[in-house]
Amino acid sequence: MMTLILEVDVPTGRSALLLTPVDRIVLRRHHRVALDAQGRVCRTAWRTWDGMPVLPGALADGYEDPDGATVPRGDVVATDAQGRPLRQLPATAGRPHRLEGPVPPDDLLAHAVMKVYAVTAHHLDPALRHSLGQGDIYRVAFRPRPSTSDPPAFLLANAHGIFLLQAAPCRLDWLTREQRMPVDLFADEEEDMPAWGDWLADYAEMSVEVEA
Amino acid sequence: MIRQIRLVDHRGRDATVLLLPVRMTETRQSQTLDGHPVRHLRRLKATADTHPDALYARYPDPDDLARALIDGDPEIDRQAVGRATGPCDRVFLDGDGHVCYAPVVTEVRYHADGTERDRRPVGRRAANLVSAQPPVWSGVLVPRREIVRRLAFSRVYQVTHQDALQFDFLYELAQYLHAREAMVQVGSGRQGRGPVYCERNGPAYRGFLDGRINGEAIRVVLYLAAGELTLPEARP
Repeated sequence: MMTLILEVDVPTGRSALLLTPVDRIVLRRHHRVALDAQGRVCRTAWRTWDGMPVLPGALADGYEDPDGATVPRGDVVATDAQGRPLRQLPATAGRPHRLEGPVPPDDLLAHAVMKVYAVTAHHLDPALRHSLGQGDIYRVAFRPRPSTSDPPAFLLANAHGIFLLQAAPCRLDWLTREQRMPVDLFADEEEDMPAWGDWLADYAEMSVEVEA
Repeated sequence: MIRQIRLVDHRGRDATVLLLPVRMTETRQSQTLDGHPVRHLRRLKATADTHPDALYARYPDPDDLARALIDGDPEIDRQAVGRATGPCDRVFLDGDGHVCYAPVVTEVRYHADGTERDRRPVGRRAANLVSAQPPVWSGVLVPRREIVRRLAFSRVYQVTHQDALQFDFLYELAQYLHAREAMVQVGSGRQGRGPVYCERNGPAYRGFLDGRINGEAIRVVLYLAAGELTLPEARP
């Protein structure tokens, strides 16, 4: 299991947090497996339109231009919907980051949790430890690898330990009586992205076609 | 398809309202450094016969495998390698590597320390956002500050109305929760604290409803948590 280190700065000092991904199976204490007729655990794979099975690890991602010529990955940049190149943000490892907060719980409630890390304090500033123990929540930049997106992470503690929650922002609106749901506008926006904890939906999505 | 949920308020009135997914998604595209559009595609590297697993099975001795790789290139299927896969279906493979069309889905349960406890067949579980029976007000109110430190909310939906009656229902519910600065548990069962299933045979969630008012406007949000924030060794 990969362990990450996040260094954070608070006014009273610097802390180094050892982060271990929390195993979702252990958190939920159950998971589902598919067994074959002999009781052996099945592996998931893909099957091409002409019936060829494709095992995990047997695919290579690539890019090609409109003429069908392969474009090296290094020559490809990510852009926004308007075609503006997105800035590649460096990973947060290896340099300290400012801890924002304490932030109100509403800040965290405006996000969906994507991943949970258990924090083993490599070196935790005593004032920060005390603050977390009092129920304070902090916000910090956290990117395990270079990325064009910058979702925040939240540091908090409870009776079981200290956790870092990697989160994705949500758009929450105030609605008035007149603002009725424009059903047509949202008809195609149903949430299909896997969320933290949605891993066992895998087996239910056998028939979903994936556009490679 | 828009999801619906049947909610009950503190006065025992129930209504079926809408759930909007609210997670913000970024629309990204790719282009070359000089601005030409590119498209992503997946190409085949190996078939079931040339996959490393198959080669290890065929040549258990590493020396034999190395010799075969040098002499005959068994890891390359010249007819297939490099071709774009196109649309694919997800399938299960049995222990022999063949497609398994009728797998038996089994639930594996674990002890607190992460070791396997037992296995049991999975029954059919219907989604229960819109229950046939009127839902029950759980009465479990938890301060926001406390609940965000107990559960990891991985799904968030904004609860919204389609007509003025639904709005009035949601307004009073939001007003009740806003005044108490707390979230109320929503769920199935006789006490309204049971698991929430958004999809048939889907994962079980614990649901909490948050409500705010701002003048004449409301914001009612359903939060779903798949698991508690806890460590394996911290479990009783």
